[in-house]
Amino acid sequence: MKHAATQTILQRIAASLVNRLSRYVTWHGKADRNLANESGRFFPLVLILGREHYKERRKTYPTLRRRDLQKVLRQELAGEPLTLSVPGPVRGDSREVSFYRLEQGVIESLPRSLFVIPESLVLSSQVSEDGWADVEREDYRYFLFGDGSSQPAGGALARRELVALASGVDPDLPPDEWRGSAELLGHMRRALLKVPGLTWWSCRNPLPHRFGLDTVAWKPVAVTAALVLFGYLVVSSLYLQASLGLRSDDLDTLEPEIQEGLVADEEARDLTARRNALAELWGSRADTQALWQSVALALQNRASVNQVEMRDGRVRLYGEAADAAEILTLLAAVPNFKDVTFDSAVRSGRSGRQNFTLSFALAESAADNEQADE
Amino acid sequence: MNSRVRILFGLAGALAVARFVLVPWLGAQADLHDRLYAVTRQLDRAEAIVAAGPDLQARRDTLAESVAELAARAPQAESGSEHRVQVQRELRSAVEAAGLKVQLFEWVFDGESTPTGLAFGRVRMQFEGTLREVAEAHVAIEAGFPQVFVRSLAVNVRNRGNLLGTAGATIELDLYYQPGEAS
Repeated sequence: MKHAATQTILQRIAASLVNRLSRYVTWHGKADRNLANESGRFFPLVLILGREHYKERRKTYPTLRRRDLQKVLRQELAGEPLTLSVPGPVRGDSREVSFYRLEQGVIESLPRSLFVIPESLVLSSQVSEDGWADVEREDYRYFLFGDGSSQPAGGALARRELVALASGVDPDLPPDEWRGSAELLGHMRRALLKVPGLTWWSCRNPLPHRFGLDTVAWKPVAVTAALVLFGYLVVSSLYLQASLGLRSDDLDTLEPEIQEGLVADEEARDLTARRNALAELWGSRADTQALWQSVALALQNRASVNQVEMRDGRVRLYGEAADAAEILTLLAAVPNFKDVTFDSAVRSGRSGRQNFTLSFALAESAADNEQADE
Repeated sequence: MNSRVRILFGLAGALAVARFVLVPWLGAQADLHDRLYAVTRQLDRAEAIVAAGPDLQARRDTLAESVAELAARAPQAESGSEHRVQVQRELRSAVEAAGLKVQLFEWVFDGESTPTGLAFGRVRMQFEGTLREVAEAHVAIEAGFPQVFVRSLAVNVRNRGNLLGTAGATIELDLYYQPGEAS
């Protein structure tokens, strides 16, 4: 059930697609009509040229490579009116080529299509190999044979028997009768799908590709382009030169002021460095006189001081005291003194007093003092 | 002349013109464009410098004042020898004013502090007196000479070990000064 539904949908899509593509296939008989049976002039991809617009002949050639055959045909057809040549299949050691000489001015008057296929060539696939068809539409009648050839009806060849005799078909075999455009369109729609690829290739639109280039006056165009290019180069070069000159002049004019500014900037940099160095120098000056506070504190506590040394901000005190540790404690409590330590062992002398050597660091700057205060 | 030959000649001519005229010309234009770009950038910078000129001068002047103020802490010395004599005299008088007896005054060496633009002389002094006098002299030097850095001090107290004890002291000082152009 599902399979049938899918098939139906696909068939509808295919039919819609074929119908859509049919609009781009125009049959040019006495009037224009596309394969969707819409009349009017279209811009087709494929043009099926009505039988009344060409003459047909056939010629047999020895078996040649297709490429060589094309060369031969090109030479033969050179200078002739527009002619489509459709090589048939190889039969034995020969190959038959169908020529369709197009009526002058017909396809030139129509919108350019990719392919131009003669009507009889399309419909021939609808005729059985030994059969033939009597085609009549729009007051035009012709006979179509299984080998693809066709013969317009007219004069003595209006009667079927004579046509059959002339064409070598069985006179007793009645031809298919195709009457009217609608029936032919149906045949064409079916036949078009059977046209082999090589036939399509042979039926490329024979009109030369003219893009109108031959009508272009190349010389003045080239001269104009060259002049425009030259003018552009001259103008742009002049602009660049003039701009460069003007800006260089401006730069030269500003040179003394630039030098002055650069010198001032350089001097400012030097002065900044010197100011910082001076500030650092004066800031690093230690308050060394503070060391006497340690001496005073020691003496106040009945210590005696034998030697005082100060170097690189560190003070060393040599002396005697009843209790050296007390001296150390006192000095450690002074904010200006840091890292107060005994430098050597405290020894008791004969008098019972203790010999000591202690050292401490002086706060180097105001910042250090503030830190010490905190 | 055959049209194909004409076309070929035309193409060859066009290529020759492109190779020997257009390409060098466009190359020269590219060089010119690069130079113009560089000059434009220089000009922009120059204009910025010129526009900032007054600010730069003002900043320089402000800094010069600031530097002069900081450097003024060190005395100006037009002549090195005169400065030495004067400093020696001042230090000696400061020490002697404290009651000490100067035993040695020695210039150890002269140096320069390049970043600050100052020069300095290193002095070693030996003097003798009581411990109190030594302390007073030290304080007087440090308080009275802001350009002086006390590098080291060594005091030996010979007897008693108190403020009235006799002490011999050696002090090493760095004296900063602004060198004059002649020195």
